[in-house]
Amino acid sequence: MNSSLPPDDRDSLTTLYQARKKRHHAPVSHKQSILDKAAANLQRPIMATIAQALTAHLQRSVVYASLAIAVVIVGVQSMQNEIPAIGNEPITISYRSIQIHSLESEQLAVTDNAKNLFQYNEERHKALVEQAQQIEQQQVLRVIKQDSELQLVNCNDELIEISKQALAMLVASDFPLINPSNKRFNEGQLLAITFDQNGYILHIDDTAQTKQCT
Amino acid sequence: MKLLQTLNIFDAKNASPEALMAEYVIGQNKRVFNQLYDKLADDLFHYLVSLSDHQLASDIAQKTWLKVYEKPQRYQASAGFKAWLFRVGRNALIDEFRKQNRLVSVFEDDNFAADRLASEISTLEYEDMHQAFDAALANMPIAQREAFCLQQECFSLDQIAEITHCPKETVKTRIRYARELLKRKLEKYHE
Repeated sequence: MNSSLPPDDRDSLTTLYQARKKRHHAPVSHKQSILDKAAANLQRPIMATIAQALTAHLQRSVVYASLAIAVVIVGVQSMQNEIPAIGNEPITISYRSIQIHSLESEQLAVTDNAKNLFQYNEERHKALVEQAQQIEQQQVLRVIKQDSELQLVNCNDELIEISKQALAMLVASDFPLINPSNKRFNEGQLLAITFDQNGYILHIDDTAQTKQCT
Repeated sequence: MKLLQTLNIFDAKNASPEALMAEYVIGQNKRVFNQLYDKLADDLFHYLVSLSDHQLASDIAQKTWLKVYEKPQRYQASAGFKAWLFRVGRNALIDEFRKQNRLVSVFEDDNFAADRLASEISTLEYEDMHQAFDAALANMPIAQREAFCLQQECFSLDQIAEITHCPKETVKTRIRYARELLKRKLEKYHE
């Protein structure tokens, strides 16, 4: 174990060291003191247990008391926050009534409204269609004679193609006219002709009021 | 173990500290503790008194043995009992040094302390070699003193390194410094 020391030094230093150890040995009283302390420590756990239990009980009590105080403080603070600062004025309380609708009445109301809305839309659509038909399909045309045949032109002198059969029908006065007494068309005469969506003639108005190009 | 005791086969006087401690861990027999104490009390006390003073060494030694008495299960059988005992004692001593704020001054630089010691020793005269040896050891830097004492307690370099929490090379250096200082001090007494 002491192989790092030269033999001579090791012997002399070891001798001196061992001699020193003999002069500094452990006091005899140490052993008994240790045993006494150990015996005292054995007794201590019982007292320590009791003290620990009391301490724990005290700690619990303090914790509960602290919690109770904290709850009271928080409660008081929240109450103070809720009450408005109105000084000495009396507290006025306002009430608000709420009308509760049943689901059935709501459904009925919705149904009626829907019906009314649908009816309105239908009527409005019809009116719009009629208005559109009248506006778009009523044209003022003028009768001209070209190559000894009667032709129709619009206000922009554009030739309106009408089949010869249709024109023959017009000439033959088989067509229902606004003014049935005047069955003959003359050159330069203005006619207000109403067509349907497919281009068929619905009415021919040869009255004086309609013979105007705007 | 009880059977061995009954048959008087177990030789307490020649039993190793490890064997005694193993028996004490099992039964916590006061007689076994006394045997263990008688074997190692002087070694531990001298080690502690070499690092501190008589009063502090007494307190720390009692604390250490009380720990052995009350909590023997803390001893790990894989380590040598004496090394474990010294380590427990050393840790308690260092704790005490920390409380007294002595730790920094105690473990000062080895080389600086060695030079200072050499000059101090050269000016002192002692009646005999033992007094000179005691004085040289007492005035040696504590780290070197500790390494030297542990070596004299028959610990290996590895064990000293483990006890002191130092690298093995550091332990070697400290022992060399300690021996050189002691040789220088004791030279005149050899003549």
